[in-house]
Amino acid sequence: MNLIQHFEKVYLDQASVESPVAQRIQKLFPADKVQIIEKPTWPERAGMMTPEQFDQSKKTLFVTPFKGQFFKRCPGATQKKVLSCCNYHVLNLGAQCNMNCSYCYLQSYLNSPVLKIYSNLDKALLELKAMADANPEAPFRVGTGEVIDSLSLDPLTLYSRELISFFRNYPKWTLEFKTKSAEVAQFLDVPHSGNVVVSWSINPRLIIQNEEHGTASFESRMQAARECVNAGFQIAFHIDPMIWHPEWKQSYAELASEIATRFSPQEVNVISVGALRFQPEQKAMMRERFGMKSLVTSAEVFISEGGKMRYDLSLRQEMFHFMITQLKSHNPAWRIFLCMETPESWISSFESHPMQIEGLKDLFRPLPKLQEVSV
Amino acid sequence: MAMVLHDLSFEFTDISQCQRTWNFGPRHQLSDQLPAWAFGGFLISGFDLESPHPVQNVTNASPEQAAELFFSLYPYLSWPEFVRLSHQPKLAELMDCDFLLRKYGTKSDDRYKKISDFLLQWPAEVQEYLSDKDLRPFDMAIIDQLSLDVQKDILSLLASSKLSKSLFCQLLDLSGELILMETPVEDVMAALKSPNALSELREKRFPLTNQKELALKNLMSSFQWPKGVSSQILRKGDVHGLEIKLFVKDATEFEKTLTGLRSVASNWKKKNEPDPAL
Repeated sequence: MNLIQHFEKVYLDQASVESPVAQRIQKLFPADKVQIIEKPTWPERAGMMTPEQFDQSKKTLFVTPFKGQFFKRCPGATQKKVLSCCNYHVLNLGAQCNMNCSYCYLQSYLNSPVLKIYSNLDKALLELKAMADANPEAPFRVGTGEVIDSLSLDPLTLYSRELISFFRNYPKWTLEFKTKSAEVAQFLDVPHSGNVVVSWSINPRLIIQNEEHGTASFESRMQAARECVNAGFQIAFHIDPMIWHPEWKQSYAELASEIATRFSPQEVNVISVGALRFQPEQKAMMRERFGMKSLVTSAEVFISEGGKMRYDLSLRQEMFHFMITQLKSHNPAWRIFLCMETPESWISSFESHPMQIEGLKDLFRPLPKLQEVSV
Repeated sequence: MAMVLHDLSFEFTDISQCQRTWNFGPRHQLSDQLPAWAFGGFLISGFDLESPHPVQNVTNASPEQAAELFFSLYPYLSWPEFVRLSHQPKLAELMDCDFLLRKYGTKSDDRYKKISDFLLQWPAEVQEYLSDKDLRPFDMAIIDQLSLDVQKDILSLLASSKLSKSLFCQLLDLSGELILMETPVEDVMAALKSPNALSELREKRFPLTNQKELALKNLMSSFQWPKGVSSQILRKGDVHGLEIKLFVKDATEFEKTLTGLRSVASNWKKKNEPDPAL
């Protein structure tokens, strides 16, 4: 994706103008697209955006300092009663995504009419440093792809370079980039200490074409993953969300085969598997933005424990079992786990809870509560 | 009311001197109980009263004060009532409707406005039903994706069926999605008229799931169930399964029933095992 063409307007918060990211953006974008503002000229919305407003928010970039706490637990941790949680932590360096997946949860989560990039990475790193210094032995996994793709805007921000360098000092901590882009060239030369996982959310080609609009192609993602492996980075794949379609078995069997023939289990840190899920209030927005021909809007989903819409449990279990069996049939050494799933799904798919599976239990072992630190 | 009236000046006039064009059709029992008030000669309460009858006509209220006074008269207003009110001519000059809407706990956004514009074109019986059931725009988010004619047909049918709010929302959502999935409108309307509307629409909307539930039902009916036992396929959220009820008169019969149920469970397990011949 050509980011310079993609963004119709770029606003720089006056408080961010001196930041490296704002300086870089001013050099990259034509001057008539960039405007420096004292404060936002748009109202913060109380309710959900209209489809048109949501679409427009993807094309309007706002570079501004983040005033809250950067470092948080993954939302899965708040639903421990119904989900098996893998101790993931998130570091949000922006909000909204320049790509356009039909199932994206941001459609029911965001209410800002702009895509934000936070300019104060230095503050985020200070926060991380304080946390890491207070908990140096805890094997925390930190991801940057919760409310923004970790890498799709990285050619603009180059944040990956600073984060990778920062994590060199904390070898027990793991940094995970999660992306549907193929934007890796900008950090491949950065020295690292082997604790950086570059991960791809991946789906069969048919799903990418129909539901993951504006994302990198299957081939590009695979190629980028290979480049990362060659540069010594760990990689991971998230086969998530699995989306049912009439030929789903064939599509996902091919996906397993493509991964297995291109990579070995030793090269892939982990493969996570999850199925389509979304908040009920997201339905209207998805219907209006993608119509009912989408495999997501037309999906047969029901309210599950925890309130999200999901496929029938028996279908989910069938899909997970199929995917795991396919991968294991190529090589039993793959490390696979289920993302945001219930203990019932785990037991049905693995005949075991994650805490009982060698190679996974470290991910799911409850961690000590983070020591509170102020920055 | 006293707080609201502070600093306001008003004059008494006869109801015949006031315009009734702002009659937004509030519930009659409530309207009857209210004193007659007017803003700048436009009646806002006491629409059913006849002359001679005194009216307190407010002459100097700001749009926000007018909204406060209106809210104190009508602390509850349904969505259709509010929409009918807010579309009255010249009302915006005298009363701050966005402020008033917020007092009722709703924010006016583009989606709200779009569905509200449709509401004014729906039959009065539909509007009354929505008022009675306290339905709001977010309860019927699918409606603005349908053509006005289809909206009217579906809503009129649902409103005349005197459904609960929950069933109304489920049927509207299912029928709306089916129409957007290009199911012929006549087929959807026919299903809606059926006494088993919910299950008929679900079968159409969730064919794969329905097929699985049907297969389970057929499998269960192929087993020999002990006497006094009844079972049915049920869906609880994202899980479907079997609900079993049993009636026994004593411990001996209970024991016998359990033995019979164990045999059913064993047969069920066998059916789930892969066929070694395949």
